[in-house]
Amino acid sequence: MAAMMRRPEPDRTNVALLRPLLHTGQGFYFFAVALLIPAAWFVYAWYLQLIRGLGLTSMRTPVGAPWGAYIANFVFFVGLAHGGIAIAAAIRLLNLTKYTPVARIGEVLTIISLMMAGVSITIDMGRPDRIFNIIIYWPQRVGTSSLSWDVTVIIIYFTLSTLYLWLTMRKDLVLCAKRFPKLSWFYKILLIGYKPDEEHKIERMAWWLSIAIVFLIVMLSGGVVPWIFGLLPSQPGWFSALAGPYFLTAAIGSAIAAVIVVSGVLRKLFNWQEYIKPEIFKGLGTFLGIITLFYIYLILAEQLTMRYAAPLSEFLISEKLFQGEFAPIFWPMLLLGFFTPAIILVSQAIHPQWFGVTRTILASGAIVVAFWVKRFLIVVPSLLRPLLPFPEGSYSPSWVEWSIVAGIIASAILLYTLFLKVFPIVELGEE
Amino acid sequence: MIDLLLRLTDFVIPANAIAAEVSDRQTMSGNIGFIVLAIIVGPVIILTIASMLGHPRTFRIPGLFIGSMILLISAIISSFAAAGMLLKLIIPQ
Repeated sequence: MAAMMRRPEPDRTNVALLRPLLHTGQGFYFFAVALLIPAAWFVYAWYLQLIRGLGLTSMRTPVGAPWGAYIANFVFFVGLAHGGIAIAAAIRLLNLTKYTPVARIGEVLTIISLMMAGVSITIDMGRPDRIFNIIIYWPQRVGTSSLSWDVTVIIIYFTLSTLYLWLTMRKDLVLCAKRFPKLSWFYKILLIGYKPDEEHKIERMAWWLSIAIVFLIVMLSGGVVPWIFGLLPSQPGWFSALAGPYFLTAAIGSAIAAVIVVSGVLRKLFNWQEYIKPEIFKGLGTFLGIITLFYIYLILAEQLTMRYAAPLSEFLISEKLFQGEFAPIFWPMLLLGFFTPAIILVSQAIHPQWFGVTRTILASGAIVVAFWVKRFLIVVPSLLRPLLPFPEGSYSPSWVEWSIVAGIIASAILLYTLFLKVFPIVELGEE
Repeated sequence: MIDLLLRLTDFVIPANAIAAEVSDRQTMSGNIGFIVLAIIVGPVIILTIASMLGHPRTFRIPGLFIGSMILLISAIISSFAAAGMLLKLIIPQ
């Protein structure tokens, strides 16, 4: 009886969960403008890069790094994209109903991250005006090019993820269409062919699609994306059968960390303490801590292989990280970005009295940043050591690259914010 | 020490280059990409079909799903073409 009294009524719950759609305060406009400024600056920086070429970046060949911050950004966003919807799929497949409030937060993160990954890779292209050649020459290239596999699988993954979100959101769109007459035309388009009895069929389809999505995540984040690097025998530091599990672990870790951060921010902003409960942060935080520790183990395994009796070129890449030019980034990343947050998160699981939502969010935030840095350290140091007798190069992103990377991140947050203003980010109850 | 190692590493380069050449030849002749994609896309197609079959036997939602999938993939491909055309106007040719 007491539990029933504590449970919020459906209508009150829905009003609370629709708060981002119902209220638009001054803070929203300030936030939107704060994001629009770097986004506009990114468009300007990209325009400059388009008309003057990649010479505006610090990427150089044959001396220097032909890939840099853009590719690191691409791998980072692909990783975020995979873990986000993995949480939603796991909730459905394993019946983890406790985590349902964060399912859609992960699904939306997936779709926006995939878009940003696409933008990052397009910007890295020397001639992005030839982008349609990817489609035109697909039949000739797909047999041998791992980049073609990437495009194919990412398009399939984006399509399935978007349709999964659309199907599972239709029930809530009916409520939105009733509550927000101004936007009802838009909701009605998305509700095409809707009938109230479709819920059961959608549940069944979503269950099977969850399996397909989990499979795609493994094959994409643990397959075709790491194979861009891991299949290159001539590239010390990349050529490794470990690349798949390495990238997959990073993808799941970074995405869970991002879901924790986004859920924490939304919980605070919209007073959703009642709906996104501390147990969710505790569970996800513990899992993240374990995943991060496992990732540290993979770093150890990789570095040991590179330093024990590997070809000298491998050892020299490892040296760059341990005591070379990348040491000032590598060690803080490892100790402050991975190790300390992982210990905090695992300690909270062992000693429940140490648990704190804010601490979990901060630790997760540090892990998100560390995973971006790690992608940078995967991409760049290997490329600086030339395979032909050229002098060794150096790479530090130019202002254009930083502007574009910052602008892409700002655009991702802006898109997420816009989604919040139009769609319910947490599954609504019956009304 | 590092300088010495850097000089020594030049000996490793030919081996790497040969390894790359052999690897390329194997990949080219095998068209391994079709096998890779079949392994990835095959199960996804089977699972997607499985999602549409079974109870309740209605073809309205699966129909909508297929229609939307075709629409979305077409939109993505069209956006590649549109982006290419738009960028041609900006990038000096």
